[in-house]
Amino acid sequence: MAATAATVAALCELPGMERLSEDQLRSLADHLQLREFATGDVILRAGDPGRSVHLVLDGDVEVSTGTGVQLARQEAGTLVGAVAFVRRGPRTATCTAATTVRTAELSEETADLLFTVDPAIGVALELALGAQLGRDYRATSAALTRLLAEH
Amino acid sequence: MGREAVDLHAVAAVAESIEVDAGDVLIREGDDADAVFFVVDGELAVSGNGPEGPVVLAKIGRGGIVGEGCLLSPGPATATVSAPAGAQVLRLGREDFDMLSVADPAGSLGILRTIVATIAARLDEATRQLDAADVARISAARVALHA
Repeated sequence: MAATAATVAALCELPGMERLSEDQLRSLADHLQLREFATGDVILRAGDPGRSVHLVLDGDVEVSTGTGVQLARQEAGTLVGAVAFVRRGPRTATCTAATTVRTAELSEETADLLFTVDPAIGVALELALGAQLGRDYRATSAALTRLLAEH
Repeated sequence: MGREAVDLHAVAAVAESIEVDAGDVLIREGDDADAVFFVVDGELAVSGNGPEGPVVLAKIGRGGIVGEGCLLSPGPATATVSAPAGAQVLRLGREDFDMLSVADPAGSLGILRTIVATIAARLDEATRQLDAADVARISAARVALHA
């Protein structure tokens, strides 16, 4: 299923996207695949090959490590699966739909093609990924510090 | 070249070269940081505050990056970065980077991808540590339970 105006609206909320014109945003949105998950569905599984990143459009996503340590509950407007997408390695966390979830998924192949055609879209998406990863890193570091203090 | 490997020539074309004297602090924990540093020569020490004073968390050599998190998600620096024996670094400020990425998206995309990949690698490592620490905590709890 192709992306819709709702995807463009969700993209607009990401840091970096304010640099793009309406045409560029629509072009990016057109390259995303809409996905739907029922409560309890696994969206991404730690250890699986990571070939895409998801923008959460609706619903809540539970993020946990491969051994089940809860990392975060992500809401609409967040990017999940960014680490593996950026590093082109295996998924580092498991993401499960905590409610009905809709996402817009961008594959590596599509991203590579799109970035070659229009590097400005690449810059905007990398800025969004960097901001998300930075937030996740701060949250994970804080959780690690708390855990070590308890231990 | 892997995504995390930095092209220092590309960075040097747009960043400011700085000679850091031995012992100088580049980033202080808690301060607002607004630049990323690329190590050209020498070594930087990343340290945090432990219960008994500063603890060196990592040493970053040639081709390494520090301050990457602050460039894309502004906030207080999470660690102190110094050059115990001096170093040569390239400093890329947030404003300079913003201007470059608008003026030359294709030229800046490689640098940006390196920075983002470095943040992803640090998050990956922190997630592994959290997993390991939690397993250790659960094991300790089990030992205590059966003691």
